[in-house]
Amino acid sequence: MSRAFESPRPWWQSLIAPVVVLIVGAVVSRDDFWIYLAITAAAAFILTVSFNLIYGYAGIFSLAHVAVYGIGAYTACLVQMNYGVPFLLATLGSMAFCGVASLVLWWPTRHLKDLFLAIATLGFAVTVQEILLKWSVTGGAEGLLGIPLANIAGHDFVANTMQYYWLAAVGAVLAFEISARVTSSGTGRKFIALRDAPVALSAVGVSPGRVRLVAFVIAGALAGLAGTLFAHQNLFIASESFGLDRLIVLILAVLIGGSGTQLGPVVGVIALVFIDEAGVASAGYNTLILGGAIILLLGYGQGGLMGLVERLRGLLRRDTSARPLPVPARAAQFDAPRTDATLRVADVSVDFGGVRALDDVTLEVRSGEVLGLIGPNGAGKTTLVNVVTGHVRPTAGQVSLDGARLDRSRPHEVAQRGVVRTFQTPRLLPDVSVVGNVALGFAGVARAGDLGEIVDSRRAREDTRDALGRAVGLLEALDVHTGLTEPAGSQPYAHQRLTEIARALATRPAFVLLDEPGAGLSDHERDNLAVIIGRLAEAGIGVLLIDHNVSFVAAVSDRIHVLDRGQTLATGEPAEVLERREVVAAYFGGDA
Amino acid sequence: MTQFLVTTLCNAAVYALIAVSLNVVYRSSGVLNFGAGHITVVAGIFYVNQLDPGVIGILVTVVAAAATALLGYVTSVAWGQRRGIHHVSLSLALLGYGLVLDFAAGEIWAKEGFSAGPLIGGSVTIGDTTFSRERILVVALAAIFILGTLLFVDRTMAGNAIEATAADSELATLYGVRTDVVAVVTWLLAGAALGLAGVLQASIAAVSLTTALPLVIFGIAAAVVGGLGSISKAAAGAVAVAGVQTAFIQFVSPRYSVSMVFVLLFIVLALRPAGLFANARVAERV
Repeated sequence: MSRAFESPRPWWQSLIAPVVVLIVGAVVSRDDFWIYLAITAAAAFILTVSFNLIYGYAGIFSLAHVAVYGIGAYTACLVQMNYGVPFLLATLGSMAFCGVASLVLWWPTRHLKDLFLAIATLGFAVTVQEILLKWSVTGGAEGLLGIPLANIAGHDFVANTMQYYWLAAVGAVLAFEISARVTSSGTGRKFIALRDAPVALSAVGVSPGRVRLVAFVIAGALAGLAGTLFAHQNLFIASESFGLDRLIVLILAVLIGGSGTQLGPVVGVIALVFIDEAGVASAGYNTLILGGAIILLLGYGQGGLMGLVERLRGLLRRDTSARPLPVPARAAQFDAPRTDATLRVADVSVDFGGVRALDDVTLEVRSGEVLGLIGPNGAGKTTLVNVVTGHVRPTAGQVSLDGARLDRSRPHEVAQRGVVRTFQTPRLLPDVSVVGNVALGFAGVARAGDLGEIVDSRRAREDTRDALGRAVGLLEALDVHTGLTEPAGSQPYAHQRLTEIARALATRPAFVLLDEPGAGLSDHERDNLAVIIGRLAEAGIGVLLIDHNVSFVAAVSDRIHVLDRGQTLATGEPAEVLERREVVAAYFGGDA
Repeated sequence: MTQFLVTTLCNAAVYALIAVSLNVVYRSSGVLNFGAGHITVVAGIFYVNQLDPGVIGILVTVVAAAATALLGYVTSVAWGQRRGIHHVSLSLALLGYGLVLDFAAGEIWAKEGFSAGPLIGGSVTIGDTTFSRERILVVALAAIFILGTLLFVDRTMAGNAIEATAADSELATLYGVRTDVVAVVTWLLAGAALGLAGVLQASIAAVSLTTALPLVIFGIAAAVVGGLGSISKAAAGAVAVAGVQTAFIQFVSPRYSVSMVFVLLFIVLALRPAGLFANARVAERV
């Protein structure tokens, strides 16, 4: 479903939106009512696009989005009316203010999960609604009257005329372009990762909180633009235009078209204008229609109209290997940046409530070395990995990289410092292609800034081409040659494992922590994996390998560390350690 | 001061019932019933319009509300839950159900405020403050219902089945718990709480369709401030929310009383996402 960003966006696609807008303009210009509808649709389109970015792509269910839209409308009008700020400046100011308001929304909610985020943002929405309704500055219950006409360089854009249509159309084209560029750049990859597997983001050194921030600010600024255009079309605004009803219609618009698709908002906005007009015609039944539509789309819906189109296309497309690679492969490179590093876990203990999961464990991994970590179920192996990568705080002891402490860092900071991991069950973006998944690993080393990616600068395009090309190279180096452009979720399990390892290597790590990479693989696939692990060590990467298959670990590792019930049981050369009585006892029972 | 306490406890009684209802459903399914306010209000309107106030009237309303909540589960949640539709989507589908109820109630009765006659007469004087005995009854009824729910969940087999399903629904199935029956019982219980909340709200103030959203929002605030996932903490959260709200209205300004609650909610979510009264969080499995 998220094909857009898996190849650089061709230049001619930037022409689509202007052409559509011109055609619509030509069609509606004869009739005042159609002009009015077209303007309404253009402003609503901007709002829908912005909500599609934050909810559809980034998966942030912000119920405050309509409130931000309202803030935009009021801000633009108030600075014009009270301070005589010219229209264009007021519009830019209102977009900026909405971006800032989104920061206020982002900060307290940056660690909240889906439902709690929805609750907190709903609270923000209700608060804004109450302030708009009761504050004297915003005109209170009567609303804001006497909004001046939009005016640029002395030229008035009279509401509900073709002139105003062209103004709104420029805004709509702008919104479409920004959305298309954002979603085809590295930022788009990060949005989808935030939605589908946030833990994958921190695994490649990107802060999920920061990605949320970018989504909030872009969507907020676009909502501000939509609000300004809405206000100057109607020349009157009141708090009820920014209440729950509008929010519900907006959610419906995004869902009908299909959230997280580029064309979804186009379909959605047509439905939205239709719902509005139908609502005027059938005033009494509005709540019934909205309520029924919400139950159907949210309780029973699956991907909206564009989702349906995708499913049909999937049924029609028989030859699954036909899709060409988006870019030529680049040579793979995963040599460790340094070859003299040491990752040290010193006297670490972890308590979960009353359970001691790790008890005073000390171990060390050096560059170019494979350390096997084995132990029976519940020995604390995964907890140890979680401590190193910052997912679990140790109760006592510390983790350090070349003497610098690591255990106070958040997971994405640990990854940035060159310690990356894979997970027991691969954390991939199931709808994104294998290449796209690996390309996510290059997000931490992209040269373009957030702003560059938003406007899809030349540098951001190069980043995308680079990331995709090198991703192909990495995958081929790991012997993954088929299905590169297919959704990762549809690939064989062994390929998913290797895809995750390739993504980890894309960050150019000094240390890789593999959490049961051999689980679920056939003997042949596991042999292949053993060869790959050997090559990582040759490239100077330090590997911490967890697995249940003792002979596999023994064959690959330089040293072995055995855990049992949170405690170190033995450590040393594989052959020697596996001879020890207490190790045999831990695995097979009997007296130590 | 007495006045403040009485007002706080009366409001808390209503919020607590809604919060407990939200909690029971959330624990068993991860879904937050955004339609709870509408069920509450419609129950209140039903109580005022159809029946003589009194024991029978209250019982009929509570049963009707329980059935309404169950219908909401059947129409908006059950199918999606089996198909693995995201719980946030299902929570909002319930808001859609609330809107449908809103429409139906508007068609049957009027879209105005309704107030029930007093449940009992008489008044009490403490110090120099006089208030009606009904207010004590309101708080007592809510307290009895919540204590009853706690005992039911703690002490009965049916309650244990609900707890088991909440903790791990698949495992509960393996141990022979009929999780579909548990879901029905859960939603009936949650609906009954909302029915009582509607009756009490109609008795101490008024119910109208426009108060549906504020009510569910206060209920959510109470549940989250207390800590979603525990009935007694939700009730404590209700007292905290009602206290802040009443204090603000009495001592600062009656304006922005909804916003005040949300400033509190925002602060709690930012600083202690697991709730004011929650223990330290157990680490999640990655």
